[in-house]
Amino acid sequence: MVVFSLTVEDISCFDSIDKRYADDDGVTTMAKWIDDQRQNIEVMALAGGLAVLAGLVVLVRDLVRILPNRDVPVPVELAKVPHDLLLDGTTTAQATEAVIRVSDLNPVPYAVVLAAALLPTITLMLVAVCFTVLGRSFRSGDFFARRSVRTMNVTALTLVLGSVAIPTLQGLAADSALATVDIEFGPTLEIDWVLFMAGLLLGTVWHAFQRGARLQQDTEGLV
Amino acid sequence: MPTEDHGRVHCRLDELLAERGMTLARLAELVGVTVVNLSVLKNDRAKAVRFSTLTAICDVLRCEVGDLLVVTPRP
Repeated sequence: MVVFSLTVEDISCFDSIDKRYADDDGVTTMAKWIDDQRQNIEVMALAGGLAVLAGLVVLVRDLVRILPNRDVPVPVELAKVPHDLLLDGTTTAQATEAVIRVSDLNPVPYAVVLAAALLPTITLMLVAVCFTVLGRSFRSGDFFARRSVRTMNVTALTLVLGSVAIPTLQGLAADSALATVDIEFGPTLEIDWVLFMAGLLLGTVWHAFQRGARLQQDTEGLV
Repeated sequence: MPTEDHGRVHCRLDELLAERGMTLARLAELVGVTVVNLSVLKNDRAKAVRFSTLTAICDVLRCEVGDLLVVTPRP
């Protein structure tokens, strides 16, 4: 159990809520909550950190594949024109996705393919960073740290923008790859609704945290 | 909302307590506010005071708000 041992002179109005609202034994409900949830908070921060590391590995792998501009793998949705495949002579399967390997892409398609490959990982890493920052703030008892609120805001915006940018860029990249074999589809604007809803949800949580930060600021120094 | 001048408000809690021979802990007990918060007020670190806190302190110390809080002149 976390026990804060304090004397009156140790405390100022600029101190954390933890310090100012401790009971006679120096223990607050927040301190108790943090103590109870410490393991979960640490797991959240650790998972975020591991996801960032995994994201870095995937980023490097994708860069190594794409940067030479030779046999660049581009996923192509075949949903519009599903293809039947014969698996073992009698069993058939329907292919809805394929990977086309393209080389010597022009600068614009090359940039689109690069962005389409990297953006999902970068978005995932941002969310992971957000969880790590939140985990660290919660662990120190500073729930409404400016850093956490800002990170949440950036992540929510990234998710909402990513929900449009990622599928659209992937569609454009697929079109670019198909164009190299003289198959043309018109560009379409797509939305990843899961990402979009996640962004909206995080945006709502961000709004609540922003209000909380303002309330905390208002009550600091209130006697 | 003007917030720049809160540093000019001086709390005379120390002097009032000394005049009455009362400790901060005893006042906290009588007023129903934590010693921590009274200490914040006493050391001029408070940014805002609830009317309920002011009233309770003045009732216990039998003084006016003006006896407890004074505004120091601008430098």
